[in-house]
Amino acid sequence: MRARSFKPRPAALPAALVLIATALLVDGGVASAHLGSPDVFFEGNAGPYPLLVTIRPPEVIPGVAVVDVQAPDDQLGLVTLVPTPLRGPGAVLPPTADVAHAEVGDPHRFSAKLWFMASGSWQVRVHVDGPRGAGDLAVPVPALALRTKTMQRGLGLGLAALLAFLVAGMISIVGASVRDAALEPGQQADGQRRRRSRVAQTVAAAVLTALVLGGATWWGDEASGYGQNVYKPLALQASTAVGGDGVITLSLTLTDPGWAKSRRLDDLVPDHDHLMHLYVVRVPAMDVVAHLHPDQGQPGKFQRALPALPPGDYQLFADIVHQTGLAETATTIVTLPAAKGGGPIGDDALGTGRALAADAATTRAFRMPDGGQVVWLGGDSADPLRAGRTTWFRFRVDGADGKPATDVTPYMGMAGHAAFIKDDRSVFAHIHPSGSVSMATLALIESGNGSGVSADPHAAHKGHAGHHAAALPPEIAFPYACPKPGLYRIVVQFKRGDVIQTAFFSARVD
Amino acid sequence: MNPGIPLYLWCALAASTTVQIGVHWDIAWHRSIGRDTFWSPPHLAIYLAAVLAAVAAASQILGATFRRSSPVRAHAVQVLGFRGPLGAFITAWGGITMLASAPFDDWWHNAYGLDVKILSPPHVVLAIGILCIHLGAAIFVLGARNRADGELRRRLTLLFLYVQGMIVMALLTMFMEKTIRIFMHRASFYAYVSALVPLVFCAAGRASGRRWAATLTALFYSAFLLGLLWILPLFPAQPKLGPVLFPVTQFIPPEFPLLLIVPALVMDLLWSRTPDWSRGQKAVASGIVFATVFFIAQWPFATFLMSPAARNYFFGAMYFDFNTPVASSYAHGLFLPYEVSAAAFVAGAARVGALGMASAWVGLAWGDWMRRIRR
Repeated sequence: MRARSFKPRPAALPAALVLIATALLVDGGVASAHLGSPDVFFEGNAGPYPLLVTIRPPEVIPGVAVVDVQAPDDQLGLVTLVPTPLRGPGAVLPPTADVAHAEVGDPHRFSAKLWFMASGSWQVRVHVDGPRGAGDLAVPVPALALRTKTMQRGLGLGLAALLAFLVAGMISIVGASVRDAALEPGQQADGQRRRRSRVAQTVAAAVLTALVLGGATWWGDEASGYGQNVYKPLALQASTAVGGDGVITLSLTLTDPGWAKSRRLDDLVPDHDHLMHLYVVRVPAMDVVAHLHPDQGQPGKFQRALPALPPGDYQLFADIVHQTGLAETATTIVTLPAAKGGGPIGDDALGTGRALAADAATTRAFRMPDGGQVVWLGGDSADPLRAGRTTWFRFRVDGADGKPATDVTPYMGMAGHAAFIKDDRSVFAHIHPSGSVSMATLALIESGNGSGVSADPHAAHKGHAGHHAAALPPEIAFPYACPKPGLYRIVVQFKRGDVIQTAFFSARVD
Repeated sequence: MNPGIPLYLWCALAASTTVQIGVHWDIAWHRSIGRDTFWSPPHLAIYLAAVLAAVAAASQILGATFRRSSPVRAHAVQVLGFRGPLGAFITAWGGITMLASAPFDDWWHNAYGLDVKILSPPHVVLAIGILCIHLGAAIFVLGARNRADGELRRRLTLLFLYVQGMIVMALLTMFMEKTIRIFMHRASFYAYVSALVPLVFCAAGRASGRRWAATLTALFYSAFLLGLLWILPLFPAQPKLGPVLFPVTQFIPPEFPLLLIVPALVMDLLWSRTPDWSRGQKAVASGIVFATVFFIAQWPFATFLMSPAARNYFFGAMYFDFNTPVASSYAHGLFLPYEVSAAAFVAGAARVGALGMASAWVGLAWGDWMRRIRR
């Protein structure tokens, strides 16, 4: 994650033109609950209709989000969308709903563009109407300014040329005003008027230059001010200590590098009963992955005894959720020494697979240590994975006997957890069968907004793997779109009986 | 249409009018519906004004530049090799500047998203363009008036003052965020108005040489704004964007006009009794008169506007933007606290007086120059 600060260019007259021509670059990187993967995927039921909602939040605020609603089983008559803040007075007074338009050639898909006017935790309320009546669903969305865009070269040059023309025009107008304007019709300007005109044009040129420079400085200040609003993720520091028993204790410290005043470190809320979900991924191979749940001591300070991990470099991805509904991922790298270690504790999980580089192409099945296997269904070579396209990643758990497992049980309230990590680690997303939204944020919608619209997190997985059932179906599906082309590691975790298992896949995305 | 007033002048005046309607319609749109497509009707009205201005300017410039026999040549000036009336060039410059601001503004929103404020660089570029549309129209009209006499001259003078009213609107709109009623018990409010308005009143008075020039200018400003205040809310509008903090069901119009008519009357009376004063004497007197009389009129009127008695259709103090927090001073009818100490207030008052005098001096000089325009 890069977060370069904006520096206005030093100005000289042409610098103002350069400023327009080249514009201002702030590369804030991308962020939010996931790393490099700002889009929201959400599967849930709006009344009787199962929906898959994809929201691409705007990169600037105010800005336009693109919302895509898929109703795979139904032909809906009407889909309307309303964005409101997740909580607070704005959650109570919804603006006029936008009507989503049916996609040409696909009666199951609707899309719309929605304005998000302020930063913070938002929700999109989806209302649908169809043959089986009406239904509603609320989808939480973080609205964060992620970057400022650069100006296209053509536009910059065009504007610079216009500016030059306007400056020249105004100087000439001032000259004509002094030289000719007061002359009676037909009269010619004398030498004195011409001299005064030249002086006036020189003064005008100086004044206009000062104005353009002042404008450029102002532009720089505004852009710099906007740069302050660009999201800066929490910083994460990690340290290790080997105890007398030979077990490594990992200590984590979250610090706020300064962004929104409303962001605090003492307001974390549990997500699936844990304040932090930490993925510990051996790099660069991504062949060892632990999913741990450190305990918070003081605000922002966490600790966890590590299970037996081979020594080496590990990338840490720490997911937390604030009381405001904002979910964040902090990341860092830590080097682990050779040490002993126990087995995973509680909901913690540990798995080992092949090195990602060894799986240069998409893998279809993963053999579990107990003899069972996990099969990745669909997505064959006739239908390659494409960056940005929302896809159901469906997996089936088979027992050692080769038959679909009958003992899949909820793992932290979910049929499964999946982590999508790009080989260069620029993308990390923690996905559930209900999508990318944290359960803690969904709970906030239910409890806090007074909208009367249920986010229905439980309905979200009924269609695939209702987690209240004693045993879940052997198929687990995750809706996600890999944001850019490349090789991805997919880590799927689920529970059979009392044993948490981890399966590794590779995915080549075009 | 009066046969004595040529079509291109009506076109320039239509540009001047359309742009003010467009700007206020757009502001009302933002306050009641929210940010919308770039192609919203008010945006189209604003850019239509640029087109009208371009047509008015081109009709004069092209003929004078490319036809040797053009009658316009006799009263043309030369700019970048083109010939035409001075007003045509200023109008054209304003129109081009406005059009240039459009892609800049659109890019700005895409790049930074910021839009909720009036004072941003692309908006200022637009505002400069708009001001030049008005200024061009004024000089266009004035050139024709200064070459005319009799009834035509009288009519053109009135149209010139109408454009001055539009200029007052344009200037105050640019600083609308600093001059809404919560600020009206602060010296800063009087400083903004005293810096902007005497300039136009004095220029109007000097350039037109007409009795009651400032009063007429203020009348045009007030009538235009009252029209907006009373007409805009007749049309339904609902927020399309959250967060909606205040329920809105119709267009939110601008606030009740400032009581500029009162100082304008007094300034006109002053000028009619001091024909022989120097520019400096007039500037000092005009500045002080404006600042004092405006303060005496507006301060208690602002108190009234904050009262429940003003929350009606006529005074329009019950309209609030959809994103006005219910707990805000504005919604509660409370002034922002005025200057913290007596010393600060006196300093503020002195600043207001000085700004008024400086503004008046510039206006008088500007008006004297405009009076001489023949082209």
